[in-house]
Amino acid sequence: MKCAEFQEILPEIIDREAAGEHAAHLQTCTSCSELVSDLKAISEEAMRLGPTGEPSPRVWANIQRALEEEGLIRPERQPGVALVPKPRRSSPFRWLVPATAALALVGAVMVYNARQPSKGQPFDLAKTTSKPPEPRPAADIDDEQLLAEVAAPMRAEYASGLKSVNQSIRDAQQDLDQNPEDDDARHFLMDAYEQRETVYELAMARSMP
Amino acid sequence: MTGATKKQNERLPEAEAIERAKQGDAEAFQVLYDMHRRRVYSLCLRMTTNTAEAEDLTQEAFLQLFRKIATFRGESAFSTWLHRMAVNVVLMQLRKKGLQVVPLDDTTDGNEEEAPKKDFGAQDPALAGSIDRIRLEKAVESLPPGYRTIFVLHDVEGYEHNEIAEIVGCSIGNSKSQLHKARMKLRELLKTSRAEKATKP
Amino acid sequence: MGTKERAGQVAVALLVCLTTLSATDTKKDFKYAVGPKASVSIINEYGPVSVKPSSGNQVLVSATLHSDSVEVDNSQVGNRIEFRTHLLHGATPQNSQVEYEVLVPSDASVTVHSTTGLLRVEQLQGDLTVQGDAVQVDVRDIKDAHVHVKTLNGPITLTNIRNGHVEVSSVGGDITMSAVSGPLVEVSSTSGKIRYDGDFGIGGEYRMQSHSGDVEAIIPADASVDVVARSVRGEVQNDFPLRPKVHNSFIAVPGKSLVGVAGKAASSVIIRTFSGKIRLKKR
Repeated sequence: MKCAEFQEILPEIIDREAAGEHAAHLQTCTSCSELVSDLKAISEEAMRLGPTGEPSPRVWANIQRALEEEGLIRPERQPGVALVPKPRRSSPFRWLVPATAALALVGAVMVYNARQPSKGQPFDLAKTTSKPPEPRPAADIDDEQLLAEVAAPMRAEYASGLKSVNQSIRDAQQDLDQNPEDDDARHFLMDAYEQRETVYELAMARSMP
Repeated sequence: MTGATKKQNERLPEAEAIERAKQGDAEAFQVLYDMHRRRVYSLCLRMTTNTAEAEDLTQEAFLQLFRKIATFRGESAFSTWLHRMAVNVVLMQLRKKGLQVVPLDDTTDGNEEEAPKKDFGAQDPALAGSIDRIRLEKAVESLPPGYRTIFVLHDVEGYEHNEIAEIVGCSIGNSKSQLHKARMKLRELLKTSRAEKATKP
Repeated sequence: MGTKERAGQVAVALLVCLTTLSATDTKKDFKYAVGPKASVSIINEYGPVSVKPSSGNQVLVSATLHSDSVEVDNSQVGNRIEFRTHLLHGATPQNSQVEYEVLVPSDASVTVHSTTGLLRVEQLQGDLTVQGDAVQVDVRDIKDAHVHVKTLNGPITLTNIRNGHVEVSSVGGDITMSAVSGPLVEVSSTSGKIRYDGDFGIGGEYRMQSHSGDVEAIIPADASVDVVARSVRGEVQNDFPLRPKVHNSFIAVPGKSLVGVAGKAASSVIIRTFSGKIRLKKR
């Protein structure tokens, strides 16, 4: 069997054990057997490719909004009687919970919020505390890009909003640096990031069709 | 503010989340989203190589899923169902854009797909053991769309040829030959990038 | 900051004037029949939206378009009604104003979006979502329903909202609440001021937070609250009688933080600022 012939039939047989004249050819032909080994290596490595990243918080925000608008979510109603005060538990903004959870991977707040990893993906705490955050999609569009996406008449408002939230993030970060044990300081930082996410979310809502 | 940590210890198991989602429980939808969003997003991103589009498709896939959740009867794994839906959403999008999802013809007859060069005994060493994930991801990203679709579905996502044939609407033989071409092209790309890396100071 | 706020308000006022002067108005009226718990969305670009209750099971929408650089799409799918403004070629914030006047059954859930304009919703009992960029928001007389407001800038006023979850976030807008109570009230801003005038109901959780804006709470003497207030760099001033809290692990620093209870401590009130002033007053 010649190489050309073998490579012609290869797509059909590569997923099985080689037999008969194909096996014989592989035994005697180094270049074809290397080819097969390369292709299998590629396929095996591909199988090990894990998730490539996270969608930005706006995706969940949009899904939730659509679900509410379509009446698929029935929000819980509290009965209109005296309630025993509950211990603090719920998140401030349902629609921002994924944002906060994702944001929690950023910088100083990571130590505080050991988020559960998604299936099969080990969460390397050490790695995340020392490196700057991995680039994420739309949420990481830098401020300039966001301003470019926003309609011109609103640009000044958004620039002002971004300036405001960025300053608040710096303030909160500084405070946390000075008081690393202070839970409240962490809350302020996370809230500042949430507000920044709000700016992005509002901007994105406008730019989407 | 409490600072919004998700209720880690109270996370619902999937089966229960599905039941509750059918009743319209907002938190259940969110749990299902959180469980599966990375994989769905990755699938969309690998097939479109565009983060904004991948996000829109992720959103659409989950919305379709949530709209139909009442009809899920647990016959197959939930994640399988969701991924099928995501694949269909992506393919529909690719079709809408006029991109040929898979070239119908086996032979390269001047369409946009670049035929990988046939190999008759190259001298450079085997790839096995030297493929790193980042280079592979980059190489996949630069595959022509038709090759990339089949490769992602088969080698990354683990669909079988008969499933791909059904989802994509081609023949099993076509699926196999496109997969082969994709892998050949990747081999070329990986060898090239490895050679480039070796020559850098 | 003050100047920026004023500028924003002036901008809104200007646009309102321009619309009333326009001579090329087209008014479109729509009527829909709906069942209980309908869902109504008004997604506007520029312009005010007002929502009030209708009589009977119908949704009435009157859209006033101020030029032909803008059009309105509307659709009904079952119990779900959506209006969406589309900007056409040549649209500017001035000429593309659309003013919506909407009447909905009081149990309908309502979503309103706009970039600029006055968004006003009153007397409803269905969930309400309001979102805007530089908008003025006025929500009143809502009960047994969730109210979500999210804006970049512009004043937000909530009046007589009872018995639902209230979640308000404005990056720069001032938020004023009067007779607002419910199981959960959460208000957050980066630079906006927050003012709460009310008794905090019975048994709810109230969180008010601004980074640099001041927070003021005006409370009647018979309120039943458990208050924690803290400012990192701003001042905390208390003119409301509070008793010390038993079993308290929070250490108050005079002028910077306080903790205390009144009445039966039924509602939990947490007020935080980074640099804004916090002030509690007796009504």
